[in-house]
Amino acid sequence: MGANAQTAVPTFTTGQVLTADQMNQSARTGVPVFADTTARDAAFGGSGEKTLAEGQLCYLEDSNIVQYYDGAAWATVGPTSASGLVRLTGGAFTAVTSFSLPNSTFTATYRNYRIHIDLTAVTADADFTMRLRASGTDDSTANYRSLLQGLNTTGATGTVVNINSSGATSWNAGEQDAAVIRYALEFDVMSPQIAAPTRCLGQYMYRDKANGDDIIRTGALHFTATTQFDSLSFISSIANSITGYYNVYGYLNS
Amino acid sequence: MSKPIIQIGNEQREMTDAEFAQWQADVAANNQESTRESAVS
Repeated sequence: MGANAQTAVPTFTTGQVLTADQMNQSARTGVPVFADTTARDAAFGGSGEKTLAEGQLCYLEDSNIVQYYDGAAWATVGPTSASGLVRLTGGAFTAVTSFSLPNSTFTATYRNYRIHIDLTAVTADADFTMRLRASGTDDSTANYRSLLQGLNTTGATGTVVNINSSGATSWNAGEQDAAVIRYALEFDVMSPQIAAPTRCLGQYMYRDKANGDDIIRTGALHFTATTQFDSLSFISSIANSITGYYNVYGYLNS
Repeated sequence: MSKPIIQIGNEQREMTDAEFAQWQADVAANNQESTRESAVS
């Protein structure tokens, strides 16, 4: 058993006189806070200081991390840096015609992004499109291309419902039957903030509004001009029709 | 007559005249799923 190991977590009583050992145990079981690793290393083993031993914890202000001493070296509790995928924005939308990501969702901090859209209600059968957006305005130029391969749940061989459009003023984002909600979308958006064509790779599924079939489409969306965008809009063909959730994540570059 | 509601971030508002005109044009042109779907086999 190491010097930091405890056999009990004591509760002291009113009026009890504590021994030096009890006070030391109490003082030592907290997590000391140090400015940096230099201050941490200087705080143990000196005259009147605790001898460093396995199980010791500390918090470092300069790096905002908690560390533990394993008997030979200090190690960091939890990830040593931020996750590779960082949630940037998201939330709910209720009974709207369209929703747009906040301005400046796409920034120079990240090159690529992931978008999730999850519809929970649609008031009437609706078609959906998406447009890229800059400085608060959707881009409706004829530079959108949608290349999607679809598979229908019905049909002996799996009926395909492909999309191949170019020179369109928006991306195809499918449709949804109002009665049976299936709609979900995930796309990786590549380099929307870079002065280069924006490309998306991903998929969406929905309940076909005409035939009542479930359809999955997977493929690519391409904006052929080199406009720099900071946001994106998801648009319904029916006013005040869509309710759901969205989330956007940024991929760290390193 | 009120215009359709849109949401930007967490804020909802009515479409502006320009946004409403664009949206109406899109719907009228049926620049949506039905015209872009390739042949269903």
